[in-house]
Amino acid sequence: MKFQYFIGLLLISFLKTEAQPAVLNVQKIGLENYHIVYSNYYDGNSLWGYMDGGADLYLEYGFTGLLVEEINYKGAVIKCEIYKMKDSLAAFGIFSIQRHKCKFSPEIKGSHCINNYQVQLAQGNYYISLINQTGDLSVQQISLEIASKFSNSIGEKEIQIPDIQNFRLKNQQLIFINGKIALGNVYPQALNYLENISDFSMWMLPADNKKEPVISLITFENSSQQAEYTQLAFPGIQFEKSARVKLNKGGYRMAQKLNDHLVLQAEGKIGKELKKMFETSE
Amino acid sequence: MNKSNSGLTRRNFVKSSVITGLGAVIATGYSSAISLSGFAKPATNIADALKYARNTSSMPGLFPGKVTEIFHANSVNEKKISLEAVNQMLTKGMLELTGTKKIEKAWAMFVKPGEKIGLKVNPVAGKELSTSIEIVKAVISQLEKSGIDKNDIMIWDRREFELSEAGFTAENFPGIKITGTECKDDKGSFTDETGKLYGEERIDKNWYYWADVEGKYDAETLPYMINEGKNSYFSKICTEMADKIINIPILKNAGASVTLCLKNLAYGAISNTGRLHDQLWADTCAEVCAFPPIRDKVVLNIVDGLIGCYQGGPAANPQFITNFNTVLIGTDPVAVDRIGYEIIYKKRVEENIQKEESPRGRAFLEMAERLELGVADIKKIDHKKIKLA
Repeated sequence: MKFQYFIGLLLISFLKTEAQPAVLNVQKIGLENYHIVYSNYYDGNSLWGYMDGGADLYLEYGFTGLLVEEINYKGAVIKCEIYKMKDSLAAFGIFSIQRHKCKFSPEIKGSHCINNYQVQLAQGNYYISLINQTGDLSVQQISLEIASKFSNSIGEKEIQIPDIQNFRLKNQQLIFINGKIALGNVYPQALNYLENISDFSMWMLPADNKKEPVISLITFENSSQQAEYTQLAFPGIQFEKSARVKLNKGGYRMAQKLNDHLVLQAEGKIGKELKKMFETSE
Repeated sequence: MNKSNSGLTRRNFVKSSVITGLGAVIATGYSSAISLSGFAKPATNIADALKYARNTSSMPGLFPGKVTEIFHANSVNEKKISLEAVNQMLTKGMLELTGTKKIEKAWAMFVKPGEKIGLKVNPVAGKELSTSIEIVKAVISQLEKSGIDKNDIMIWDRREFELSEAGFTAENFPGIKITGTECKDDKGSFTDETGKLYGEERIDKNWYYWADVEGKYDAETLPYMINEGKNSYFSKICTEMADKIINIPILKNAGASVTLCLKNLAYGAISNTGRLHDQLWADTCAEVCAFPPIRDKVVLNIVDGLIGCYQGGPAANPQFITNFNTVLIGTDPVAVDRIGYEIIYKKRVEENIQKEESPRGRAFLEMAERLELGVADIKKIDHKKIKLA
């Protein structure tokens, strides 16, 4: 019985090892003289085991695996969360929704965000979060060194953002949304017309202040979903190429069909220039 | 597993209930709901919950619609929480809530010696963003002063191992039972030698939340869910082990909504929750709390808003973690959540994360109000603010 149990345990550990895809780790980036305090791997839905309800957002974007390695390096304890997402857009998306008040470093190639307690990096299919406990400047430097090593090891270029002037000008604020949970986090009012559309993605530029609109580029899976959106976002309004509706809270929602599954939308107080852009195609 | 003498079965729950009041909402069969967008949502067995008449402990408890908010500027310093300040905040808040002058009398309104008291904490987001050790220590200290034996107090959540990771250990809480529904053995295994999940012994199959959504999990996920299918079983911690529950969630956002009293109880008390996030998040938060093991046992809600988050929750994202320096206290979980929602919403606006309020964010509160669990309308809430230091 004991022997069978032992064989069973061996088999489980073998299968578990086999199930892990090749995820980048601290060893592979060439870090030396560190000590692993804690390590665990989460695959697919087992992410619920790590962060409970928080997992849904990652699963919505498309999540492959997470390696958590807490390391002691140069006297600092750094928690490295290495998320492998389904593609580079998913990695950028989950990063974009979680960055806030960022500082930047020329030593990191990919999209990144530096705060006192965290360095975040989106590069290739990876979203990497390095968390420190103290927020001290010296510990931030250690985090940056590790982030730079991760960045060099991935070596892939950043994702392409849509060629829209406002997006190019403010690309450090641009958010990629791939479903309802992400939408609810950063643009909840858009759920009013997108909640029941199953497949859509959105590039969204949040408003800096109340005088600016939220600008979004929405991609629908097909033309019928686009039609459903036009009905919900512009009820009772003829929508050929573009349309607008006055909002109760003030300002407008304006949209323009770029093709049968792509819509450019602005919502809020819309300045003359932007208004003109939408109206020329009305 | 140890069982207390205060075992509560479906049958004796009915016997002990006072058959008054709720006749109008008694229904049979399963009900389906309509979402905000007008589309039908999966049916649930909420009608089963409403068959049980309330008792004097039922939500919203002794002080419906009343919330005490205590702010202490020096309660957190450099990520360190002051136990002294927290104790002061808790004392002031309890006295204000109850209208008493002595702290022992205040606690005696909710718990009495001999009762098994379960402190429901939230350790989901690790050390960075879980119910603080300090607030739980303050609660235990005041309970003991009020005559509650240490042996009758337990700290609990769904996941025993997360409790330990967040600092709820025997070292920090000597003599206090610390337990969870989902658990591992000393070797780190979720299963015994026969392959049976330890968690299966800790759920009560007499009490379940049914929803017409199938839970299917891979082998790695199942230990965190305990069972698949359409039933979510209540933990025996609620149905058998605890006579009274004091709910101590942490002030966190969940998208444009919040994960406070109702969410902490609902998702913390049942199995097979993975299936409930997508279509039934709000319904689950409200409806699970309408079942007697929760509705009739949770006597007090103390929201730990010393350190909390306004974005990135329920997981811990350091750049969104902030010192709110606040504690919220009330017997009415809906009213407390409504005030907590307001605090987080204001912070999200201030930080330019959200422009305008989304009614979806508080849909679960309105559902809970319809189930008579408390007051969701902010205009009807008696909101007392206390500023210390």
